[in-house]
Amino acid sequence: MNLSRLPCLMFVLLTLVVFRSAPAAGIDDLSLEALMDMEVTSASKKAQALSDAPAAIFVISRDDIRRAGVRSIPEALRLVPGMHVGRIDSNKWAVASRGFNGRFANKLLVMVDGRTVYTPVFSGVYWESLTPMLEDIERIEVIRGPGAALWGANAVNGIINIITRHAADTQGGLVVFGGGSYQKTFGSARYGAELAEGVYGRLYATGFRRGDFDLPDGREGQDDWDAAQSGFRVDAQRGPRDSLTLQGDIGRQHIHQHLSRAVYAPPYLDEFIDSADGRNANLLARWRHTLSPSSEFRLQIYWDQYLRDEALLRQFVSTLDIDMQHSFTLGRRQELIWGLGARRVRDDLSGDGARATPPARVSWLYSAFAQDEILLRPDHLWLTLGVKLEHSDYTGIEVQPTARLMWAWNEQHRFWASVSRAVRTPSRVERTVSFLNVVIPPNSEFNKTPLPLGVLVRGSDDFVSEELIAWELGYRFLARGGFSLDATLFYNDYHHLRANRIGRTALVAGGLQQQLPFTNARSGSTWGAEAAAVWQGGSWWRLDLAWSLLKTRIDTSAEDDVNPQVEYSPEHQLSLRLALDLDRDKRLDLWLRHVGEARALSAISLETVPLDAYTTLDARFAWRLDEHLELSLVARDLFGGGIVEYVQESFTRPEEVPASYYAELRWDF
Amino acid sequence: MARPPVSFPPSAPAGMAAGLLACLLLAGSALGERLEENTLKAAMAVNIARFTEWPTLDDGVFRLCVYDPGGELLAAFRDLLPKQIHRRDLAVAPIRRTLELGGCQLLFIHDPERVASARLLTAVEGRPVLSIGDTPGFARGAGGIVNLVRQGRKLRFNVNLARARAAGLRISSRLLKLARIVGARR
Repeated sequence: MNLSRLPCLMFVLLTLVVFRSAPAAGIDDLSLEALMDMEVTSASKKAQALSDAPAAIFVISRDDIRRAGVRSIPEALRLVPGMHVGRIDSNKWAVASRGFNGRFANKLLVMVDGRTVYTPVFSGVYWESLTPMLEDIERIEVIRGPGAALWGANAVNGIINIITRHAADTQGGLVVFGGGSYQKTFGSARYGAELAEGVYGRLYATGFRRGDFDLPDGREGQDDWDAAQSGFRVDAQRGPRDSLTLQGDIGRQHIHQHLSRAVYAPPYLDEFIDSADGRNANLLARWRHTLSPSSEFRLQIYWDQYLRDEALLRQFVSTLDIDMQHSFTLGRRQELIWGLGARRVRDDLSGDGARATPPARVSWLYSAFAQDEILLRPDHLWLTLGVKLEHSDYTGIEVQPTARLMWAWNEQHRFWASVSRAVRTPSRVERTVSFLNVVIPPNSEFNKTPLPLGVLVRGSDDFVSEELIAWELGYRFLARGGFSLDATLFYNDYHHLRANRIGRTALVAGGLQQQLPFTNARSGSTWGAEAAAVWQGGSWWRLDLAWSLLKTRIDTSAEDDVNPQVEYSPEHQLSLRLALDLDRDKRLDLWLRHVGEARALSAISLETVPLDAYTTLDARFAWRLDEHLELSLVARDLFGGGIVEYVQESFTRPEEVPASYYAELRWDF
Repeated sequence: MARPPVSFPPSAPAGMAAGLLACLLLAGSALGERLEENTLKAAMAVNIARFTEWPTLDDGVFRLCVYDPGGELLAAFRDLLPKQIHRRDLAVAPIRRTLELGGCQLLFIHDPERVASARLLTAVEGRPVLSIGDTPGFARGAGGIVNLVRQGRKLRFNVNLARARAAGLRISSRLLKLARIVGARR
């Protein structure tokens, strides 16, 4: 679909909205008896603009996830302004905020209930291994920009906090199942009960089977996959002052992927279908103790382990993390929070596509942080000062400070500003792993020699942390009559960004080998704007707008920098969602998205690949058949059918995202 | 309600389809006796406050404090304005820290993650602050006074009478008739 149709569609939607005026509320006059007689419809009120956090925060609610008709976390993240989600193939995504996207994007901190889920192997996230039961997610909190002063290294361009529901809120049973064209089948089941006075628990299992995408030449991608996950959560309240949470999950994924391996014999690329196997398990315990009205202590311990066995690389990573926090008030104007943490990561890397030296390693990370929130003028002006010190085996101590100011002018207008420093510490790959990225044919444009030239990307001992100084300005506006706006401006100044330099050239079996060790030779800056607006016209309709602009300037002129510019995230993105409650049992959601043109780096084609701008529409219609049963029909990526959203840096071919549909039945009891 | 005819440019089959589908579905729809969850909670909280007596009330404003980091309930409370409680103008104050609790007559805690309830409730313990929450067990082990609970499609409320009395609050018998009493009887 091209953009010219967009105004027309908007017109239709707005026409619908305007010609059905909201019923007069008159809630103020209702008696308590009348209110108790009212039927509850699910929560739909929402205003990001109400947040008084001095950061670019966006909350995806449970209701948003459900009504958007998404079946995975990255798809839900498309709701966030400024978040770029590019589908690579049936089981891979590139997700980033404020630029630097890629399948191996490395500047985002992602957590599930306080447990870090990015891998220390490449500092990124295997989104396909993140398969929680979507129905049990309370909300997804997304902070764009740095959060390192609180969360630590890797919280450079954003933090994604996936928060699952408290066990007391998931009492009873829930069964969800469905299927369709791309979503072949999926299902979830959960049961929760009060185990003892104040002790709640739940058990769940969820899984799916998904089909494959096509290559642009019409061939099947043969990248279908399936995943299953099961887990539990227990929340216990011991008196008003102590609460305890224990939770854990186990999961496995069978992933087919269309891989390309660089080889020294013509055609220098060995394409094959790989059957990858993923397994993960975790266990987390958290204790919260209220020491006094003004003081609280929290202790959290978790263990997390994953195994990912695919052609080219087999990874095993086991993490043990302990973290304590203490918050208290000082006088009448200051709230302090400080904490200590330690993390032990044990990994084991093997496989014929990458060589890790040493193959197995144990590393430690220690951290300490303190934050002071000062009420300069009660109800109007807050200043937050914070700093995190982090010690890693690779780079020693890193200091990550922040200063944030929040000013509530009145109930309607609020402003905030911040300046922060954040670092992205080196990953395992960047220090100790080497892999053959591509073999360039002899006598070609990029290789004039008569021998094939293999490009070996190599981790380097001198690779240090990437560094960011971020400046942000925010404005939140809350109008009468259900309109709100949350806008952010940012300027990010990066130093020591990753690049590759020309290393040794060697003669190896089959041809020449050019080593490209990682360096920190690159610098750059980004600036942009993001806005989220909500227009809640009546109790039965809501319009959500997310818009973002991103400008990137990367300096690749350093002598030590041989890569092409890899940073071409889309400059413009727009998302417009209309949620309609048609009557007491029927709901319609329409979601229009536009993603501007971008480029992606592809080692296979030895250059950057243009990614066309695209506009697409999702629609969901849900019908509540009775109190406990809901049927929904979802169509995704309409007008799509053949969009290449994103291309992975190495090892895979571009694939097209197909239009798809599915039906879902949801039963709670 | 008559709808003016809408003409669609012929180049927009998809838009037209969506529009037609929506029009079809809209026809004949009617809103029954139902309310969005947060609006109902806010309206109920204000009503409960009307049937509660405080030992003393400052002149001027009735300060209704809301802990709601997500902002959904706050939006609902704000939409209820302008309102009066006990002949005082209602002032809705968003609360995030215990420091900000001064002057609150009513404290609504919407804390599905249970990260702040314990601290906030400990801070108002024994003080004439009507605490209302919407998480299960709020009026029992968690230490609150009124708990709004879902029962099927309706909203009900539990009152911890002993705790209300300890806080110096008097809850009218009309309200108690509609409530489920939890906690110690005396």
